[in-house]
Amino acid sequence: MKRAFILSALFHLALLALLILGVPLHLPTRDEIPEESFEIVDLVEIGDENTSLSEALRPKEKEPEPEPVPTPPPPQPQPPKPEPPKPEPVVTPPARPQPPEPAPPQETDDAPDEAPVVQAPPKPVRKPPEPKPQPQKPAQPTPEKPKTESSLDAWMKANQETPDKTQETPREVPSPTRGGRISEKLTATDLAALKYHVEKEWRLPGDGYAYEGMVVEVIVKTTATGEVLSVEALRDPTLGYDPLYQAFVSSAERAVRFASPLPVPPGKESVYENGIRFQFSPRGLSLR
Amino acid sequence: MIHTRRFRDRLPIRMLCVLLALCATAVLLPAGARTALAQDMPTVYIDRHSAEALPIAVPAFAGGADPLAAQTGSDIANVITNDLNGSGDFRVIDRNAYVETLPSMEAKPNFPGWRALSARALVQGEVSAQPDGRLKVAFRLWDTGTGEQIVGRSLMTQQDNWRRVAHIIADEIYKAITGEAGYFDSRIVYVAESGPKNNRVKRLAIMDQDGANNRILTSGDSLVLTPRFSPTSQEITYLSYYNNTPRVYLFNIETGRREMLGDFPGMTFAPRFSPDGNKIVLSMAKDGRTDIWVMDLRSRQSRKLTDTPYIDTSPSYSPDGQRIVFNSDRSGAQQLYIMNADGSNQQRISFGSGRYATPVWSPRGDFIAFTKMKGGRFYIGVMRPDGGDERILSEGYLVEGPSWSPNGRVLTFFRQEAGAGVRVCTIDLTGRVERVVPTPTEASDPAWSPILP
Repeated sequence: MKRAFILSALFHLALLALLILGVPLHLPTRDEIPEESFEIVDLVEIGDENTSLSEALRPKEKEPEPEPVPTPPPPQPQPPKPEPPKPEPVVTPPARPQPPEPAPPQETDDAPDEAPVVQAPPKPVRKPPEPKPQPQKPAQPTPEKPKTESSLDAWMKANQETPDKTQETPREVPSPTRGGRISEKLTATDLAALKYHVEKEWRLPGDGYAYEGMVVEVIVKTTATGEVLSVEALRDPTLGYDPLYQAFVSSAERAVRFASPLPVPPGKESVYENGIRFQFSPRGLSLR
Repeated sequence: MIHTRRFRDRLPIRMLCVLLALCATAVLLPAGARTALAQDMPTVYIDRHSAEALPIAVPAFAGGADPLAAQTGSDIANVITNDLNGSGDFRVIDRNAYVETLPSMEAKPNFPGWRALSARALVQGEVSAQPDGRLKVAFRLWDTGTGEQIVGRSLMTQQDNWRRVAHIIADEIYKAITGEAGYFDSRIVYVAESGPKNNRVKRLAIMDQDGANNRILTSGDSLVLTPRFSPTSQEITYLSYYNNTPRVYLFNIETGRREMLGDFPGMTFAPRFSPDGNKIVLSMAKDGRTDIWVMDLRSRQSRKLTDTPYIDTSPSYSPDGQRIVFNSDRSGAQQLYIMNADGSNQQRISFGSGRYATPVWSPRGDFIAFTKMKGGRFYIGVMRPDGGDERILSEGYLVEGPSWSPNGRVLTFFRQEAGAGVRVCTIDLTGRVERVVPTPTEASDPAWSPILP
């Protein structure tokens, strides 16, 4: 009994020590990790071409070669047809009904029996980083347009010595994936496709002027096919539950939900399952 | 048996050890691995948004077996639809495409069906007659993406007040989605015009912001021009003629009482209230020069703010009452200027080509609306108070006299095309939705009221 206890305790201590000390030893050191960067794999004009990119990156298309499909133009804004109100042929109507008792609305108890919109408790939020330059116009010229994934990998490998720090991407883990020897790191093209896919679903009232300067990060986890499973907003603690900020956060959450399914490049499903961070910060720009 | 007992004896110790290991893992991992995991997430920067309005579904409010309640429910949904569509921020989906009718407030909506219709939000409502003759109007606003209720409310009203209840509900929806106050429960005062051009009758009139409940306020014995609402009371200031001399008047909508403002030596015009409603700033012309004056409505004392040999006119206060925007021809052509409320620190803010007139400071303080004249055309536009970010929202043969909605997101102005009558219009700040407000006669010089009390 006592011996068994000692053995058990030793075993657990060993396990604990392994957890504390062992795991980090297996992590690659800073020197071993290539600089965080994204590789320019394709020069993409964010606009017309992104639709085709997102289409090409859909997992249902097993063909890994990103075909430059002719793209439909981005959706044109369709202003709602003004519906003329019914003309009231009243020239000298009776005095306007005095806003009587109902005007200050009397709440009754049977209307809102459901809780209003979920207001998550404030979370410990990091101050979101300053928006970084977007990968729309890569500073470095692309040596040549990669034709296949194998040449893409080779090109990426060759270019790891000249990192571009304009975009934050996950560290590359050189592990084989379901789709073969494809890096699970999202490329600039992948990120641009995701960006456009979500931006066209982001509806911001009044051209976004009221929300300028606001920032919210939304962590989105999806299935392997890009179906959005969870949406978690990391609020700016300085704005808290200001109604305008609340509306801004809701608009961002709504955008990613209605962007479901997200375009998932083949072989990179696990990146999506682990979570993607979307940082929303309006600059008064809209997709026209 | 013995084995079982030994196992049971060991169980607490085992559990203790496992707990220890878990605790250590939980304490040690967050600092390292968890942060690393969060940092390793790819980040997508979203800084552009769709220019499309938010699709929303507003089915007819349920009325049960009561035909009057059912009709009122349908009418309320129509008014809400009209309000939301006019804001430019919403696009109410055609009712013919709806996936279901919602027979009562208790019916659970089919959210996947509404999502398939691209509806981001859904309004569910019900109208029921009460034993005392009043109506109970209840509504819920749903987020179709999450299936959660965003806002829900129930209102009691007289039967003939249903239209106002509809505006109040539209304001609630607007606020819940945009985070800003609505403007639908408000009115517009304007000049109702009738008769031939050489004998025009111009009377003061008032209507709901959507054109309903139109009412004439003055007899038409004398011309009425440039009415402006008080931001704090049911009073209007406007220009009328007294012995063929234009003078500024104060008119109380509720009592019908009219009063001429001040005893100025020259003609006075272009009046506008201060944000606190206690002062009126106006122009006075005498001996070929026009200056800006301010009058305290409590003491009736007036003071000159500008003193130049030029034409300084169309003053409008900033919402904090600290500054005034006006136009002046001191640079050779009409341009916009701002100054402190005491007349000091006058600075030009418009530098574009063409002439600028009738500046109006937004109640939010973020924009100044103006009329612009260039190349024989008129334009309605906005710019930042420092003169930047100028944008034209509308143009025409004659478009003039912008006035802000109480939330500073929509403008009303009047439009006249060559050979056609003059009409009051509204346009949202994005310039997407311009619409004519229906009036029984020709209409000009609109001014928006504050939200009704």
